[in-house]
Amino acid sequence: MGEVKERILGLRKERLERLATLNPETKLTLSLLRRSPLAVIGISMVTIFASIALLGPYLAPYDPYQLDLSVRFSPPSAGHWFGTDGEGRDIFSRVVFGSRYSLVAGLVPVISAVILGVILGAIAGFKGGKIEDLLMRITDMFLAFPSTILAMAIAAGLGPSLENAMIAMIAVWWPSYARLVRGSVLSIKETEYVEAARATGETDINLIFRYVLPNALSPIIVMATLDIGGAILTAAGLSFIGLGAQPPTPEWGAMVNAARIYAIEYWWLPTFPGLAILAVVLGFNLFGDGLRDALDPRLRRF
Amino acid sequence: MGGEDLLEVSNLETHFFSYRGVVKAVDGVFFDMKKGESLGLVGETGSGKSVTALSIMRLVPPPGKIVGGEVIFQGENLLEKSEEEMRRIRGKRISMIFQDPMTSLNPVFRVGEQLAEVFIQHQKLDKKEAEKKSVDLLRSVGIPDPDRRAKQFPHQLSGGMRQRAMIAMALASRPDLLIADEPTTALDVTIQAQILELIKELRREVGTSMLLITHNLGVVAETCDRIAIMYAGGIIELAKAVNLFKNPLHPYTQGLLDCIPRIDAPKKRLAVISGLVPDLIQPPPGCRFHPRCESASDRCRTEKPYLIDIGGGHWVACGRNAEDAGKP
Amino acid sequence: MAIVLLGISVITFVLARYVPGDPVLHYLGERARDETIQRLRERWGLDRPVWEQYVIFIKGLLQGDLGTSISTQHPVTSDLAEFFPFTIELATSALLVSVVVGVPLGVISAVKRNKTIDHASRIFALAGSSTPIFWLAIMTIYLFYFRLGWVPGAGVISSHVQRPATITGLYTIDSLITGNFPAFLSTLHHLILPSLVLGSYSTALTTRIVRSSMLEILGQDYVRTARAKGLPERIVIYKHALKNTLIATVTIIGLNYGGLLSGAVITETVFARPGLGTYSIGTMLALDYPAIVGVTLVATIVYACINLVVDLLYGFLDPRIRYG
Repeated sequence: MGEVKERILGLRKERLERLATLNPETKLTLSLLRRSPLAVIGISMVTIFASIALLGPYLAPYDPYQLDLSVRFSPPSAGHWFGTDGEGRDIFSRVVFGSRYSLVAGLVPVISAVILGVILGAIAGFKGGKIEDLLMRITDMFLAFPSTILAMAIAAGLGPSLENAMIAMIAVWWPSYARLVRGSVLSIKETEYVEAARATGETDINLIFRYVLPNALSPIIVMATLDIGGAILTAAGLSFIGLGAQPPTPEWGAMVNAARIYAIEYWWLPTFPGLAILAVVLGFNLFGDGLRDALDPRLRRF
Repeated sequence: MGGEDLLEVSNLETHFFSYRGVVKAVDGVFFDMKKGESLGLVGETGSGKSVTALSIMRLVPPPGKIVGGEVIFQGENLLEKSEEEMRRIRGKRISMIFQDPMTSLNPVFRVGEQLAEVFIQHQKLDKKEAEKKSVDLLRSVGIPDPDRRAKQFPHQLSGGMRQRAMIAMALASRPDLLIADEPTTALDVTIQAQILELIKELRREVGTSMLLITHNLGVVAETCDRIAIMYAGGIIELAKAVNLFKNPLHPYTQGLLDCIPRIDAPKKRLAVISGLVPDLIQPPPGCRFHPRCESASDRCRTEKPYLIDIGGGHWVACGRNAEDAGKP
Repeated sequence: MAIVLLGISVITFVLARYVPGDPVLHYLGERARDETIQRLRERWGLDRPVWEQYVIFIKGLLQGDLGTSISTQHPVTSDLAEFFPFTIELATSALLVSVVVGVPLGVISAVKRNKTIDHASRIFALAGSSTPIFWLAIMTIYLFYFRLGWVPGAGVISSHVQRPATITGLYTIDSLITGNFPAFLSTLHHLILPSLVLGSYSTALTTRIVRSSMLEILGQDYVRTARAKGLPERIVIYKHALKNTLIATVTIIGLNYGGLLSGAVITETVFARPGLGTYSIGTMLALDYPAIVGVTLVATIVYACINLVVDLLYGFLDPRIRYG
């Protein structure tokens, strides 16, 4: 009996040691990231955009909603760097303000989908049995749809607005994360140190947080960073169709939509908002790529 | 045995340029082989034996690079040859078989076809002839029903059969030198013996010399004429098999032999060589083994020992042995 | 599988009806008389409880009837039969583009790793997967149609060309079958730019995946064996490595197609092409329930079929599965 207790105490110490070893892992990841030029460029771009979004009001020379019909359709000039649109609004200011919507539209749905997916996936993987089956059926159903079409349908059903577009995206994206987490949970569940922890009477929730999640974390993070770019594109796309942000909101996709009919005569109308989308998504993609390379165990040897 | 020189490796250096530093996997390797003999290259994982073999074939993967030395094969320095010239040598005059036959065969092509490639490439046979010869070859390595097997895919064969097929592929062109990198490690023990026997037989038939790489002293005892012990990127002892087992000179070799449990000896605790394999990015100064050596002297800590001929073809790289033999 | 389909139909159905708007009012306008509203409600079956509507829907579905579109007043099935082929034509040609461009680019990129061409193609792939399709469409129309006049800016076929007889609904195939070459050429001409634009994202994706798959395979033991046999490098790459890569790439095609169907919606809108895209946007904004349900169902079924085909193809190509 005393032997068993000793063993269990030994295992407890092992747990603590294992938690401590997480840090060298993270340190290695960070140093690899620093070395990857792509990731560095990516995160700088993201930081720049985040700053633009935060400092919007201070950076924009004009009020994005302010009409000035006397200068409508002016090409780019010293006074209006990106020109003006059909209502005389300064496009540069609108692009600056639009960064907020895009960043929010990128981050909120992904983070929410991750949280939702991780919780559901972890529960399903952990409990197994009927709950797991039910989750698998539900995710099967959701994943059977081509994702953007489903997002469109949901957004249409809820009514066109940026918030509803984000809800639609959360609904479409959470199943992938749920599946990912469930897979990780299944493989980790069987490992010995989880069994040992169970033997010491750990509660299920504790087990999930201390063991399962840290190990499942890296693929989730990679998938999420790459999805942020996709989310921004999807949100802009939905707005472009008319199912997302509505005019006169200075959201980039909506701006391109409004500019569409004038594109031939006034090239600057759709060009700059679109370039902005390109730049932000590029930044996130670069960072996501760098992150994925840094976290890839095979590439880590050299 | 005697006979002409086949292979002479001098001061071979192969380094891997990684993020964490330069890994000196092969750092000054010397050995030679005569025609018809078999040399066993023995060492732990990470000692550099596989990299040595790959260096001879010039198949070192990036970020590895051969940075120095000479590999004289039948009078020609392989390190100076062009890639095109090397291609004519590989598979024809020097062949290699690898450790894991499952991953070493292409899973999406039939076994017979993979064998036929060698004939088509080096003997310029046409497809039909090559395929026929492949079947014959499969038969000669002891695979039953070779016609059927040749049309199958690697995953349909057992581990032992796959390795036989690999051996067939390597010996198809009757090469002068066969390099076998841990050919039996991935196989069941019972199959191991069969494979070794097969290699012995074929060597006799074709007259191929063999460089056998392994960590298993038992295997080399059976199959090799001479043995070279490798440690941390260098050869530390080289002798005829008989002499090595009878009179191991280097402390590391002695340690290795001590580690082998013996049925006929009284039961005692298993011996180990204390310490860890050195870091190849920053190896210890002087003799690389000195941190783990019981008889290390100050000289060992500062001077790197070279291979010295103690006599009778027995070479050792050890400061203490050099002193004992009265050599500088 | 059946349960999944059932679930899908439920979701789609509920989705379409969970709207804050009333399609009848939307259709008739705010000032319609109560009588008319009521009559139309009855006609469209909207006055029944939801579950009853669902049952009617399923009954109709099993008979191949998807109801009548509120916007077009045609049976949804005939609407779909008319519009869907255009979308398939566009998505498939975009897929062809992504395979024809993406695979070789990915292979070369992997083989000449870290050389100029690799960096160039990686930048291209990165840019391609970051570019919003609708914007790319507008920009390229401006450049290649308006400025350079190389391609038409809208439509599926030139107005002065005789349309091919409807056999499959796909203009390319139909015009070839009926020997209507002007129609064939015109259709292709109208397909070029939209396919390239729609295909940009999936080409980028394909390039990246082929590249990483190829890199992984080039590090495999059997490639080392092939080299050790003295085989020329070009055989090592194009025979031994490539076949393994292709097998892995096939799975990407299935995933790609779903994205292409979705992207087609946007592309059709910008290029003013008829197809599922324009149809679905119109019906969604008009709260046209039967049409919305029909579109989503059909799109999903097509996606499922493509994935099924891909799975079968994969099983066929990989000898480990085929000869078990």
